[in-house]
Amino acid sequence: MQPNRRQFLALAALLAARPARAAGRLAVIDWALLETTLALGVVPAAAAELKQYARIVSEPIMPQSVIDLGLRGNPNLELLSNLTPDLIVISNFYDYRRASFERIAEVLSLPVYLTGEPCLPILRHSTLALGQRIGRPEQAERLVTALDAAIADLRLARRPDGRPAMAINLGDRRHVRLFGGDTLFGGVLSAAGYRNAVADTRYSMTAPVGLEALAREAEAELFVIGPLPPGGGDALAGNALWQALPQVAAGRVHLLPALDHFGGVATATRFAKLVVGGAAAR
Amino acid sequence: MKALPASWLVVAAVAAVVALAAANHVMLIDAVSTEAAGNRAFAAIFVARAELPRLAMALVAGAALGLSSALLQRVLRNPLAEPATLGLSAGAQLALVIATVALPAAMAYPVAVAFAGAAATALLVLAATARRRFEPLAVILTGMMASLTATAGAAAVILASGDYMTGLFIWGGGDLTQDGWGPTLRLAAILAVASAGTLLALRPLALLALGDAEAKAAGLATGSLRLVVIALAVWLAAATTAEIGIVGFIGLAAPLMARLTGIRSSTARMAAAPVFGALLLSLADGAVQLAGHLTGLRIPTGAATALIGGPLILALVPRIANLTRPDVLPTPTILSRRSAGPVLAALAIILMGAIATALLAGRGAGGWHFDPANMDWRLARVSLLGAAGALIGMAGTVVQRLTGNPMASPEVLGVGVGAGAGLSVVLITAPFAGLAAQATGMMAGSVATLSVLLAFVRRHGFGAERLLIAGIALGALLSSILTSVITTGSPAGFRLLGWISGSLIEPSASMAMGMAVILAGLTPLVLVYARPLAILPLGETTARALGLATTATRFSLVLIAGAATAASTLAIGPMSFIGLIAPHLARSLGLGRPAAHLIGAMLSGAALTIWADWLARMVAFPYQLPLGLFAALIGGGYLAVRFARGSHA
Amino acid sequence: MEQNGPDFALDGAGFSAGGRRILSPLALRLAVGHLHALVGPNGSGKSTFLKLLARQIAPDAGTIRLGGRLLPSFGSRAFAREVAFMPQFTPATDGMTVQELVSLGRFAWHGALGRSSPRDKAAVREAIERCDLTAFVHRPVDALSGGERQRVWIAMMLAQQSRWLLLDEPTSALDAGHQVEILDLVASLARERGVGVVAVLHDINMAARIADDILALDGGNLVFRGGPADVMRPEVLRPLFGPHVDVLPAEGSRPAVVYMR
Repeated sequence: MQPNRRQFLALAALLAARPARAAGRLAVIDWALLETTLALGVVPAAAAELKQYARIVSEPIMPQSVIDLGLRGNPNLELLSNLTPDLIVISNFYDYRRASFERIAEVLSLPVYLTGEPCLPILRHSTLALGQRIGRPEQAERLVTALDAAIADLRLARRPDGRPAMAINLGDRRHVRLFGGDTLFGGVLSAAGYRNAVADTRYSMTAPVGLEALAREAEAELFVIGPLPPGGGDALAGNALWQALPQVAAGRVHLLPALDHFGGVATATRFAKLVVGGAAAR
Repeated sequence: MKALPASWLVVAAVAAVVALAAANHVMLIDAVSTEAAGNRAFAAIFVARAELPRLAMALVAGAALGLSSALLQRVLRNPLAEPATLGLSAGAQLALVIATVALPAAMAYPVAVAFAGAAATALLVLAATARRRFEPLAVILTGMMASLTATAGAAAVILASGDYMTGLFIWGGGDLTQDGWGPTLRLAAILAVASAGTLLALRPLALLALGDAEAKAAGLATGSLRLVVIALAVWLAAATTAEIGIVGFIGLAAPLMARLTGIRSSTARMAAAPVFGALLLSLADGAVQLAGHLTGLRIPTGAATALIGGPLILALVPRIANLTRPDVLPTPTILSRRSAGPVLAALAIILMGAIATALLAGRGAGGWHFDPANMDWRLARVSLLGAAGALIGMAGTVVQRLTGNPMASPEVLGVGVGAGAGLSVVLITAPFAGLAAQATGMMAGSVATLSVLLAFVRRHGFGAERLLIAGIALGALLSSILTSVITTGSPAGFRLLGWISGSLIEPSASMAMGMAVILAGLTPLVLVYARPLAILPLGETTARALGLATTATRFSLVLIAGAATAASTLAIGPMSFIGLIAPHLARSLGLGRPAAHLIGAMLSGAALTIWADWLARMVAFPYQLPLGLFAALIGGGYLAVRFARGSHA
Repeated sequence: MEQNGPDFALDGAGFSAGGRRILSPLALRLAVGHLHALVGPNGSGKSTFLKLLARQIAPDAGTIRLGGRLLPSFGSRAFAREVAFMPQFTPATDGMTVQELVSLGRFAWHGALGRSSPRDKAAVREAIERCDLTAFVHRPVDALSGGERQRVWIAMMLAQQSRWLLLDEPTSALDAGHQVEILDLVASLARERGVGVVAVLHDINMAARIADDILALDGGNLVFRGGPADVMRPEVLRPLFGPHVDVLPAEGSRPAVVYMR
């Protein structure tokens, strides 16, 4: 059974109400919470799939001391138990193997994304709950405030022409992933008052669709989230189909650096700032 | 079979292709067009640079696959030869994946890279079957093994580089989306050159069809002709794979259509194969696009052709007479027999060694260590895998004796994938289904698959080669369903991917206990059937003459094998090959009687599984690779060697 | 209904496949303790007839009884205790030794689970001795010569200790000397143990040499039935085997030799 949003928010609020404790040794499996942990000023002892993380998340830099636990979907539990963490932080994506983590240490599971639910409220509450649990409640408040400020800025920077927006990622020369309302980027755009032109996505795996899907919303602002496919910007320049897209032809495309699609509040803030920059640059 | 006039069939197919293209075009324009001015410009460019090239690509790639298959079928005298069944496509794909990860500079020449991979696979398959004079069944089985091994290798490379998402594209291969005319024109040029080559080779090929001796007597250098023609076919297959990924079974269907239309002359058939290939791939791609427009589901074209190709092979099998060459087989295979006791004792000691390695040796944050510190983690894992390996060894032995064919196995017969199909049904209905529901789904899936297979071959005579081909077809069909589910990107797909990677369940003491209970329950049950398992390899007639109630016995054994397969695939994934290798190994060690054979296969299965898993966890530490991939690599190598030595198959 | 031991009784039993009549309905009786030979040209329905008796296929018309019981009413093992059947093409034996293969003949008696009793062991030993295979017991069957292999399969049937032996061209792969050896073995069994034998024989002279009762089939019909002396006449054989067939008297009790004029 999938708990609904209200239950999650109630749970998050409950967690947030508990008194703050010291962080201790942390192991973080979920990337959104890993990013949040670092943003809260705590360096975990271990985290999952750091090779790929380094490829996608350029800042903040992952400290060398953090030990790689292997794939997020299949972390090395033996290694994890040898590291004797005090707390293992997971998200609802990893709840199905919670029992295994509980054999090793106390587990904190916080919701990050739920299919069909706007994610920013969930992420806000989870950020506050994590801050509370690892003894960084003020920093957590600050993170959330920073996001709100960035979104407010974006709201101001947004041109009042009612243009819809689309956040996308280029899978390869011919395919894109679209970020709908239940995704991080879609959530930020909606919060800033954009109409998200992407009707529907299934967040967990964002199946790629053909480039032509973009043409359906010819009027939209296009925010392209990195990384770009092999060949990068040069390949896009030589791609006649891409160049012919109405948004590209009209110069309403903003190439953004690589961001974690499954990131947390800090990524959301960064995205909002980048969009402001992009919108201003035009 | 009544022959349809060729022109009618072609006209109908062309009409269908045009109708599909028109429908897709209308839907596309409808979806794209708004009042915005820029949009109309885009639509025009999209038609010119994406839609038309895609249509052309389907025609060109289909023709290339059809021609490649026709050449292979001709020169190997094998009605089932084509790039997918010979493993050429998978070999090309593996080379492309390795180059992408390890040697990105080489990817400037994708066709060359793909050719290297496909040619290496072709050499391997042909070298392994040369001693059997390229007997069709042996070639297909070896090709399939090479194909699965290459696929496993490609997945291992991707996972080892720590990228889950790209893995999806491997599984969802065969995509014809275009963004310009470049790839189509490149492939068309290659097709033109290869067609010219084929024209030159037509006459010598006709001579070759008379037989090697006759061709040689007429002054033909048969060896070099074969080499040149195979190289042409491999080049076509590699180029197609490099441009659009793996699209299987087109080459099987094209000659069938040629036969349906009553084309008799072999030259005419050679000319017809690319035409029908082009039409078939265009039809499949048009249908896939239409389905995408109507339902929003994106089925990879490669998965769709497998979906069509699977049933097609099933339909073809009863018509295929010459899968084995009686003139190749008569040397009786005399397996050495040893007394069971010492062999089983030796196997038990080897198993102990595997257990000790897996329990004591490992890597940690500080490097290698040999100590019992992590015993509690490892004990559960080793027991779970040992029991699962024993179960799949048991299932393999049962299936091999049931069919009287040592090449049969739960994996080769598609039973493991069938379990996955059952699992996907459960996960689609209830994405967060519990373990019991998942296990039930897998059990139902594997039993259903085995039953369909047995019913099929029953109807068309219990020929072992038919069972194997039907199993391959069914396996292809079911994997294409899995692929489609995985590429939807739904939670069900995510969990299926995890299962295929062998990480569905976390080894825990209770899990290991459960597996051990299943093992303990099934072992005496299967040993009860020791005598029937000795009789069944003698065939239906003899078994009945001896008083065996064959239908009831087969039914019970299918259930036992299905349960054992379902339980073990839960832990070790669908394509481990251990169900194939373990009984083979026990057999080649001289264990001939069913009880000893069963126990030997169970011991070997347990040891192989534990070792494969240990390797999978150590090689890319701390990244844990799927154990099935390692087992497939080991298994592919083992079988290639066995085939090369020409021992029993 | 009159009942003399476990005879086969066919009552209108026939068989067709794919809309073609393979065997026309037959009404006849086969007595236990006799050697019945089925002769006739290729495609005459001999093998089909034998498979009907062996319950390998079911008649699509009429009934077949054994000892007054309808064939379908027998359990699998019970039927195998009554009737042993050897197909024309014996399968590969999967590496089994002579001893192992012959022991499988006892399956009808001990089943899947029953222990192998002294009686089972004695039956296997006797069958092996009877077929002169003692020297080969531990050899793989696949490694033997054609004649030896055929003897192993006959030994397996003997170990089955059934009252009927059904053989489909048991000597197809053998030279004349070995044919005589095997068929004499079968004939002597019929006489010594009161076992009934039905054998498809392609060599009419062999049939005349060993059979008590010869059934000649042609085009799925029973065209003639009688003892060797009745059958071995040109006017009986010519319609079956063509106008060039003729008969010579032979020495001894057996009457004739067929040759091509």
